[in-house]
Amino acid sequence: MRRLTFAFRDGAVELVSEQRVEMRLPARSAPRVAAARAEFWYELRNAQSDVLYRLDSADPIPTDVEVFSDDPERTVERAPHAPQEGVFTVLLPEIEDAEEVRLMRAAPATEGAVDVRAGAAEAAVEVGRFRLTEK
Amino acid sequence: MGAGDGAVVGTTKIVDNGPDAQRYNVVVVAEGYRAGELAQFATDAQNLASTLAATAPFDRLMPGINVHRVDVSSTDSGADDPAACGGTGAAPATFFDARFCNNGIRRLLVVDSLRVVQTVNGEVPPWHAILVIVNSTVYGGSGGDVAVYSLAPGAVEIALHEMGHSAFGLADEYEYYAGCGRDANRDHHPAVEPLEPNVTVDGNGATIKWRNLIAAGTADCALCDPQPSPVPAGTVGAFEGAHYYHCDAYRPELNCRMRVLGQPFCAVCAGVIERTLQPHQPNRTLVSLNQAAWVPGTSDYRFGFRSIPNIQITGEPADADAARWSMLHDGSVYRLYSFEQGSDDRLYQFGYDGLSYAFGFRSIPRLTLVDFPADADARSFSMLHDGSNYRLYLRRAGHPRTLYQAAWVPGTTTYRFGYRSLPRIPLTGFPAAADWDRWGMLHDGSAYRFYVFDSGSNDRFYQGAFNPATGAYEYGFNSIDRLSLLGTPANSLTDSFAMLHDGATYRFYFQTG
Repeated sequence: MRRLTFAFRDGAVELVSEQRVEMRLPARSAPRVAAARAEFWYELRNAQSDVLYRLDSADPIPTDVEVFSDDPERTVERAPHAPQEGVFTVLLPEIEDAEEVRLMRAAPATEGAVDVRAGAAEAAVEVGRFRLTEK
Repeated sequence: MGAGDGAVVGTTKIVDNGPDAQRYNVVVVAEGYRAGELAQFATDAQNLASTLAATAPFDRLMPGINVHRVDVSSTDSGADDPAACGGTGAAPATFFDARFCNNGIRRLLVVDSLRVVQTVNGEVPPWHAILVIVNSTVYGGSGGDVAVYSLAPGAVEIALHEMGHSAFGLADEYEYYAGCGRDANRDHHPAVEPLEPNVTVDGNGATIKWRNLIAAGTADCALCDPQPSPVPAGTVGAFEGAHYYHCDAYRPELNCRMRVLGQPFCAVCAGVIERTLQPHQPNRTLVSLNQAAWVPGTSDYRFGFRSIPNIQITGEPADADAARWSMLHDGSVYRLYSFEQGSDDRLYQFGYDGLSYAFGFRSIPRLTLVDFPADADARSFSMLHDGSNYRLYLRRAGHPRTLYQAAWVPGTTTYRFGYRSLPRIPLTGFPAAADWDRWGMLHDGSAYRFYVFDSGSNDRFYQGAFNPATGAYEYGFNSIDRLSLLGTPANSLTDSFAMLHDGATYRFYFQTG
């Protein structure tokens, strides 16, 4: 596997490290229903920009935070707060001709959204693209 | 304050259930402990491991989990506790800069998560989940790739809740955002299906994500907080109010740790955790198979269709590797194969005896793979019989779109790479979303077929077939390119599958757990 560690700061994303790791991936346990919509995904691309692999994910750059309390009546809630900096990681498979990773975010959801994979190209914003250096 | 305010002292594996490369690795990191307090951290980390081992469903999954403790000393004890939030005003010098009062919220306890990840990347490279214990008795914590919690009573619940998010992809099930009675515009969830497995906008018991767990008649979308539960604890249905909205979004049970800290995980979340950790379980056994078949004229495989719904596996050797298995039909016998655990070249063979897949039944019980290239990837494999030859396939490591092919050498116990075979076969045109860890093959009497799951989905997979003109398996060639699974039983292990064609029917199998 290849573990990529990203840092974000003031809206910019940086690939901090790239590490080869011998490990077993957990199973994909979630049965996705057809209408489910990925909000963020990673793409591995080759030198011709062909997408070799895609991994859907929750958006790793938060726009709010979870707040915990020892009050048993309200143990957990959310607060609107986009951290200015933070870190996220992803495990991606070893694909030899993968040259770069792109981070993509879906355009804001609209009511009645349908299966993003079955239809036309989905509206997305590129969050960043990074050349892979570990070969 | 920061890296100059302490040191990484070392790492200890405090729960050792086997090689890190095979297990699920939880890493517990110290923050705000002085060197002289690291013995206390060892106790705190052990308490966390004990809590995990006592919490369902982790209690029955612990054999697949390792826990590592990373000792990090700090110059001072505790965490910043600004007076602006009602804290003590303490500002200790600690290695990961732990601080309460983030964004003006007293309980929001954060650390320098980049430094934590970089530390753990170096100390325990195959990590899956990182939990930071902050040496403070003030209640607080936070989530993200790094879960943080303090030593206040009950704060360990924060770690379990956050693992639900970061490690298992679970959504929050609470039906408010900033708090009950304080929200605006949280009445109705948008009509967009969330990706997470434990919340939905679909309140129909027949189609809801967790329909396999719903007993008839219990799905009632009128059940909404703050009512006390009108159904017994543990009842799975469609409880309205979830994912930060009061209505039009549903959660599986009245309560769950993803809704209220201190509650157990609901059945859906527990099932997600259990299935996620299956690949890490040691001595996972071949128990039985759930069987589906293709419904002619459709793009669907339905469980139980023209099938014995569940078939037992009997007589398996103790070291049969249930994570690496395949099946075929050779015109007379349905066969099942599994690798020997820890081996990349020894296979066990089972045959269907009319009641079960029995080890060695009408089979050479032990087979050997020979002459494969050094970069053959034996983490998964597939087999088929094409009317003449028994064939076995591995993928090339780092090249998931390249198959290595072998065939059985008659009169022997070996499958030889390249024997009566194209040694290397490319796979072309398959979607980028293909999950190359979950693939299978069959021969249906006229075509060699290749199947691979859609990444992140357990009920959609892609099909291609061998094109003799190009010498490649091509996505959609002579095939229904996208297929669906219907009626998957809840006990199915979806991290691997097998397929075969028996001369009449295309069949699909999941193991059970």
